[in-house]
Amino acid sequence: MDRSTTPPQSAVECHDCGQFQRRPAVAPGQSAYCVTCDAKLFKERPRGVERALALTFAALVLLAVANFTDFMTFEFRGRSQGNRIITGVLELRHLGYAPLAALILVTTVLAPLLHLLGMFVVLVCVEFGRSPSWLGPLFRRLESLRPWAMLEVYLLGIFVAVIKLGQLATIQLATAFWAYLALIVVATAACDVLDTRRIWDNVRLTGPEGRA
Amino acid sequence: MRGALACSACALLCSVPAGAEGASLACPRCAAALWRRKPGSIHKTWALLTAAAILYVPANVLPIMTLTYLGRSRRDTILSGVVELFQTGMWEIGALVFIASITVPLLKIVTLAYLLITIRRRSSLHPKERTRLYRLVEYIGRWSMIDMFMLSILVALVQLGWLATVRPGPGATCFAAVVILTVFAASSFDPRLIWDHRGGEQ
Repeated sequence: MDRSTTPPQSAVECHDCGQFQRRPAVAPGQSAYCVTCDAKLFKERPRGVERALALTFAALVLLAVANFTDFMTFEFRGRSQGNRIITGVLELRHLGYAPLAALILVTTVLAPLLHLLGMFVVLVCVEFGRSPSWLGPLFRRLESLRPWAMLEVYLLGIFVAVIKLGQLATIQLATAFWAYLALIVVATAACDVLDTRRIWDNVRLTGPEGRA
Repeated sequence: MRGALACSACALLCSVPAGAEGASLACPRCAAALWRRKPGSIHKTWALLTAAAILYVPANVLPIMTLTYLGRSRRDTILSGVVELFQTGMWEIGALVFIASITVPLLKIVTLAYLLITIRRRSSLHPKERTRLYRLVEYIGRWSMIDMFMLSILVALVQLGWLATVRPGPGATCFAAVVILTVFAASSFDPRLIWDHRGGEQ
């Protein structure tokens, strides 16, 4: 495959409607919108990389807590049982529902973990001004992983399960539940403090002409 | 702008040499293949949508779980689970599950089909609203997993021998397939196609 060369990056193409337009200058904290369809093109944020790095690190710690402790305990006629994400996955696999188990493992453990780890690496590179040749392809793959990370939906799933079981037994929410709650807040904030364009601007081009 | 296109993954503006249209070019920044529009987007999206629509039927008709409680068994489909929540007075949760599990996948399938049909008809009406609709279904699709997550929790927690057990049913596998297929369908769709038939101002 040939590498394409690049014209000066003073123009952008809208990802929603394909309209080419001059890349607008925006003040910190302001967003740029497409002239044709009003889609948000990017947002200019101050000190985004440092903040995103700190939040991503916090999210990784919370993810570890969330995976290695129980998120609820269940008491029924004197018997009590704790539960982690992985318990449900293993039980489904054991009962012969491997595809469903795999989907749950990917959306609640693997995709969030890989996304956070990858983002941490990318942000460290950007923070220290490094741009190894794999940085661009890595970040592209991380972006395509995003639709598969569904932790916030899982949290709602826990909620519905608690309501359903509440009639049968005593349910107590435990450490991991609160860790998930904090994780979702922190991970959302990590995405919000930094525009992906800021990262892309720091990735060195590997084409024949370098940065145009 | 002729001779240039933006990488669909990283938005880098790349020049395309004359005559190289349609040739395989890679983005110099992220190594993604460069396309003016995603190749085969319409056919791929239709294929994934059709499969999802077919599986949507067994996902709703077949039981997603069997609850055995003190010797009595009941099989629940997604809808009967919702009805039970309504009957026990928890209509807010029932409404949430109904919207997330039944309405959202259907809405996603119908909306993407509608967008594909309007593109085929070269419609130039309301492209802005149609693009928003696409962003909306792309975002809400994930919420249909609520029931599957709840199921995985029930299956793990309620394993109390003869007292109470929960087992998954075949509907759950179909439902998981619908979720996966619609995620792929939304990502194979290229929203730029909506704008390709604007009258005159190309």
